[in-house]
Amino acid sequence: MARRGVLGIRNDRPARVLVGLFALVLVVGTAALMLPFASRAEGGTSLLVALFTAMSAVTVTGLTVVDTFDHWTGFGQVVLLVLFQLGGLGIVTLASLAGVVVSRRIGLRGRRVAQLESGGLDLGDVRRVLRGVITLALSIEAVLFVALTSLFWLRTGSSLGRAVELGAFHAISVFNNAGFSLFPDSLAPFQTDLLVCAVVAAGVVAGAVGFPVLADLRARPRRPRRWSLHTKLTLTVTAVVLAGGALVLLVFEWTNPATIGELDTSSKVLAASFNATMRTAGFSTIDFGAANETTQLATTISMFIGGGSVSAAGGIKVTTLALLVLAVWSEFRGDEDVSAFGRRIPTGSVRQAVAVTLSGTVILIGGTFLLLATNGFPLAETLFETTSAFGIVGLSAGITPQLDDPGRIVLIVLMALGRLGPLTVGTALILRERDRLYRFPEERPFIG
Amino acid sequence: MTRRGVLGIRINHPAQLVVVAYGVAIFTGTGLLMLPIATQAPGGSGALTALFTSTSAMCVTGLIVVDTPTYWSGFGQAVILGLIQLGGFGIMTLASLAAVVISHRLGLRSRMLAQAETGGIDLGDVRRIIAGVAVFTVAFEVAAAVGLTISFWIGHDEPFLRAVWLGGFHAVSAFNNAGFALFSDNLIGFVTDPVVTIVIAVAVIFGGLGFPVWLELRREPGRPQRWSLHTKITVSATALLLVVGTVAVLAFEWGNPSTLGPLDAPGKALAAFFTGTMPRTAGFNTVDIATTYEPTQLLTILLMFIGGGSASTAGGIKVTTIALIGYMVWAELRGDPDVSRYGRRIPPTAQRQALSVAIIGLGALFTANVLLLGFSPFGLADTLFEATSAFGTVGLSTGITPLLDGPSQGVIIVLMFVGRVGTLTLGTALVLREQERLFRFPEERPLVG
Repeated sequence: MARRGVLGIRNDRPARVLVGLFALVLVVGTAALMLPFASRAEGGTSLLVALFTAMSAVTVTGLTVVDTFDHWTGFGQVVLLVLFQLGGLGIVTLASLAGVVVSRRIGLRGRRVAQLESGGLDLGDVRRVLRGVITLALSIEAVLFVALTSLFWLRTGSSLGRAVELGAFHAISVFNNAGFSLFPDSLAPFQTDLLVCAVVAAGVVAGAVGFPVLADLRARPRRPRRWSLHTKLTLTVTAVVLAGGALVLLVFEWTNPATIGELDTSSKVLAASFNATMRTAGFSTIDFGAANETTQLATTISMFIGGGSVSAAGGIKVTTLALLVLAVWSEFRGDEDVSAFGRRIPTGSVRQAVAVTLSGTVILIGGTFLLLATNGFPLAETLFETTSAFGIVGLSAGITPQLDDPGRIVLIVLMALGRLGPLTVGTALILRERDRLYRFPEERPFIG
Repeated sequence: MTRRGVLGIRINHPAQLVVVAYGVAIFTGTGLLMLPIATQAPGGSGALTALFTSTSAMCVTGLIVVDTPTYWSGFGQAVILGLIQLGGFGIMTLASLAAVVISHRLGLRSRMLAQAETGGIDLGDVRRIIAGVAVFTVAFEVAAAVGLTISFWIGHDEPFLRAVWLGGFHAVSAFNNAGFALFSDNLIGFVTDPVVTIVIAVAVIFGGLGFPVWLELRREPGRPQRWSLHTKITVSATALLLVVGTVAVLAFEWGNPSTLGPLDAPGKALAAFFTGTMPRTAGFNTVDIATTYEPTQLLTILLMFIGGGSASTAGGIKVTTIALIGYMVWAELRGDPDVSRYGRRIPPTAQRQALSVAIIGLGALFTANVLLLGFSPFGLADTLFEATSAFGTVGLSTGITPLLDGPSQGVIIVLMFVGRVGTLTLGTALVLREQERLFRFPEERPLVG
């Protein structure tokens, strides 16, 4: 039953198309980065370093084994830029296309529901989806570019041309939640710079909430009541996770001289809020390797949660977490249905959330095992690094550049699984829903 | 709606009964352990040490802040033994009673269904449950005690009476999954002794299956196809976890010079089996946990969190809970509308209860970890191990428990209590809260993943 659909792609296998395109971009990117004139070092870059960097870029992670500015030439940096723009934008457009396929598959009623959920995006029309996503992405990136260019020009005292370069690179890196930076210590020089921090944080959050939410917000900016359930859940959980993360960072790092201990109070608040927001993007103004283990643990958890669905951010996604919490909550209340904001959530969705979370946990634990076994770093830092790779974040406790080759391969695989896993699993799950032909009798085992 | 249940106690909320009973027993035990005659040194123990040890014994955990054989006198050790026995017996009977209460409650709504569901347990007869648990307990413990006594007496040249005391203490400690030992290095001295380690491991495994499973195993020993869903899940998941634990420990620790390295191949296999069994959830050790590699510790943490069977002496979130979550994911991957296993459908409410127990457990563990990281100078690997050991009422330790300060010990005490009574009361309370729906909201499906 080979149905040819959009772009000649086989309709019933969106996951396969996704993986294929992804691999193609990855191979081309790795080859480009291995060219002698892509790096400043003599004789080019080794395969593993190029592969790691290309994977990190195309999955919009931002973990690096070599310093982006010192190692790569202008050409290499442009390759990175193209990779994370393709990776970020590509993944969301393909995810939207997968949504189209899904909505076709699940029939008329399902499609109406899907339209409702995706907010302004009319999933029935491929061209409009693509145009909508790309227009939205490019316009936000343009705004970021202008803001960042002028800020870098004013603040760093560099030439206008250099400021344009920096602005373009960081604008795209910020919106795609990539976390690549052309400064040696990520954004540490701007630790106390309110404007730069605010612009970057806003760009990251905009990139992380996802296109269905952005489209919903654009279509109904002033009528929160009419937002879709997806938008309401995404925004609520994002706000809670960001506030919680900032609070933990502030409390536990307040007296840590290696991070924010020596700043004045307002700068402490700024640094805590900024770094808590970076849980999907991977920019940082503090050294997470020097942070308290409690902070590292809390950051690990918020990285695992990640951003919104159909966004450049990774993790298991905020709606997934929301569904789990809502399921527990309704269990406590003794309600038969799981519901939120006056909408009932189908049992199938809760099970999908469990499946996505548990498969993510298993992948993460497996990667952590391998990294612990190959490189003897402490658990807290190992877990931080693997979660950063799986959640395609890019924050680092500082051990990535020190990893041996097997350890780097573990992170490469984790980045790939983190980028493709939850999405393809999520899509595949919806497509696999079957009708029941018979049911077994019910029996209830004891729990707890 | 005050319904009087068995023994004149209001078991409208069996949860309350469990909490109160355990609280009273722990404080009584603390008082006894603070008596001057309970310690070997004059002057008695401090209140915190006594409370910690009492909680650890009553919750059948086995974490210790002082060395059991050298710190406590014979009287103190007898008190600990009594608490272990009471704690293990109490949790088995109370959990079984809770199961009966649940069945009754569900039976009010659909009597036929409830009877089919609870298969293994006779409804209503509380005395039979208490007597049944007692018979099983005594039978298992006597068998284990005889084996251990003979081994200590003949194999290790202990005087007969001392061998009986050692055999009895360790049999009770093993069957109740407590992990208290009367040797300062726990069981490290017996690492290659097949009798002692296998008897203790078997007692631990049986203790961790749970009363409902024993009943059915005895009733239908040779006909697994007639077991209830609960028994099938518990037995198969337990077997799977034992194999995984043993093989993984063997693989990870094969070359570790501080643990399995110096042993010959059968010795390695025996020590790996013992070390792979104890995280579920007894806490004896024949190798020094502190010197195991980090992957082994991480695996042990996972096993400790999962724990043993429902209505058993083991702790953790229970194997049925994790199995249900696994089946949910499996059904989801296959695209099945129902979650079923062994030809039985598992109701969505049971799935959600499993999810709730697991997530609340994770939440408690995470909170405790943040506190421990804040109070104590130890790293995440150590605090996570210790916290999970306390929550799962296991008792394995990388050695930081005796070094913890007052607040951290307080965290561990609370965690042991929550781990012991929390999952049971939570599971029970959740079932009893099921409500009929009066209205439904329109459906909307958020994006996942």
